[in-house]
Amino acid sequence: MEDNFKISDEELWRFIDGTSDETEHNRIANALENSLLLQQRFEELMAFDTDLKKLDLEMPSMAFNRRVMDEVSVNIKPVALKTKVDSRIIYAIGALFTISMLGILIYAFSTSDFGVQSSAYTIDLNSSFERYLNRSTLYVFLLIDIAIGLIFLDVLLRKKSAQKKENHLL
Amino acid sequence: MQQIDTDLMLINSVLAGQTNAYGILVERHQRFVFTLALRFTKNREEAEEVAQDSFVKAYRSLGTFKHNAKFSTWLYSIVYTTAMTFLRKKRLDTTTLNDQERFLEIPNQGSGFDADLVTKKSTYSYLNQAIEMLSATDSSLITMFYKSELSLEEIGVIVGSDANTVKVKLFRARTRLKEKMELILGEESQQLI
Repeated sequence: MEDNFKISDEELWRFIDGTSDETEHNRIANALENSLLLQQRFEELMAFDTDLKKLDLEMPSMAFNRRVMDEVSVNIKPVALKTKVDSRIIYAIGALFTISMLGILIYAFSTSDFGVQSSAYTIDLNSSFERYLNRSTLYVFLLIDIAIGLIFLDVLLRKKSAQKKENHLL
Repeated sequence: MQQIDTDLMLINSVLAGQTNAYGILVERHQRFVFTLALRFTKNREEAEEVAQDSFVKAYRSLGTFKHNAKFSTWLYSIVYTTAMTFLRKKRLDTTTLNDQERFLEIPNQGSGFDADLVTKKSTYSYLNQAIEMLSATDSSLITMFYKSELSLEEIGVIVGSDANTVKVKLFRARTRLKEKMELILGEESQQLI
């Protein structure tokens, strides 16, 4: 009988909705077996829950669908987002942006004087920059480029062969 | 699952240019959309306005609908937002005197039916009146939980809360609804509920 007072309505609702955890579920089920008062409360909530489940949805007027379709017909037809955004436009914008950036960078580097002069001290970056531009540095860059190129080619060929296999299976 | 597939097929048809397919989607969801709108507006004309607005908004944004989601969840989110905006615009007080007046109007009950059926019908009409007396948030939550077949998580997505918050809010809404029912039915409520 004591359990009746320990179990709140909130716990009972969770039990009815099936959202209580296993421990709570077992505790309530056990309490329901032993308390008549709790059973009454439970049945009352269950009846309320059943009534709510049986409630009918409201119906709009008969002309509702027609009115919606009339308004829809004057709107622009929707299209899937991927159709709406043409990937070629994105690539063109990207290419234009990259070319402009490269152009600005090339122009800036070609017209810059890397030397900094001051009355206190002089920094000559021109000579130090050229010092690193030797044959071995170029080879390292070239090797890295070739490695990246080979990795890219490998990925591309793998994708193509996977696609071929998929098409063959279909 | 069948329902979801069919909704998706209809959406694809609309996106492919068959506008008439949207009419089937409207037909299928109009009752719930209208009921949800009615929970906010408490007025049939305004509810139709909100429901219509929601369907048109959904149509315009159909291209952005993610096919891995449920169409109903997406559509009800639109209805919820549209109704909230409508309420904000109208600055509608959900517990105005009009609601009290409506609560006093007891609808006509059909005659010639057996007593149990009449009693049950009365219970549902009282329940509807009690729902009307609730705030928009409470009544919409109850409607979504009982009539939309949405999970607590999906309702959470619509109202912008997590499932646990929805659970707590739902409990409070049901408690308030029970209180309203008791208020309407007085002593009889104990026998009828």
